[in-house]
Amino acid sequence: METMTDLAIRREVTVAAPPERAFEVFTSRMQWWWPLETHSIRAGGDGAPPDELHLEPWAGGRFYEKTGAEEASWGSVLECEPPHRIVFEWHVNPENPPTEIEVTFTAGESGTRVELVHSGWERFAPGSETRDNYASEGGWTGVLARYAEAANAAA
Amino acid sequence: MDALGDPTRRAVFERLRGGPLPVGEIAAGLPVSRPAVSQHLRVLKKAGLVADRRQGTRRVYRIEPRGLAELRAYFDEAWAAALAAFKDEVENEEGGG
Repeated sequence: METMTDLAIRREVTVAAPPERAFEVFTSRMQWWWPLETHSIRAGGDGAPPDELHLEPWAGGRFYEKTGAEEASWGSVLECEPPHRIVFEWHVNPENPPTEIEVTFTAGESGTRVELVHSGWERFAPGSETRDNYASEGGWTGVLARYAEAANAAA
Repeated sequence: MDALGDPTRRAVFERLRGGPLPVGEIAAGLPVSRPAVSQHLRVLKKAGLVADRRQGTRRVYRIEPRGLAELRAYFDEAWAAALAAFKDEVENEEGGG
């Protein structure tokens, strides 16, 4: 795994609030800040955002969107130590291997440093069956990839 | 090139996420005319975001699939935007009580 760490995506942000607040907003209030209108399973299907998004802040908790009575899984919570750390799966497209997101919350002088590491990309091994699925027409990944490229070009 | 800068064009693009569709079906889900959708598709095609192929009398559009590097680039951008929105939410919450 260590040899693949260079593939991980790393981002951080400092928020003017204590770790308890930062952790709570990240997990229990995720649907208030996550861009559901563009980044959700429902939006990918019929273009409308789901009603709700839940990231349950405990180990074994579920990560899912909900519209009416219908739920769609995004993954599950692997580790959780409120208000310091949460690790959850990103498995929005079941045809792709899951990736993992670790978020840590560290108290500092000016607030809380929130560090995010999105890893597990090595599971998309070139030539593997999943890699082929991943590259399939209309796959979530292909879409996201192209969208990113265009967004980058536009920036 | 800002192929996805226009909200309608972005909606046209998003409609293809579920899989390839003919123009008529793309337009059916959107509050714009079919010729307008065709125009947006032409721009997306020129930008290399979608590809089309003839199927009988219909033209079917699909997203152009890409590789892992682009997927990571996508998430890198997505997280940057999401964390900025997260910061706003935390701090508005604090400020607004």
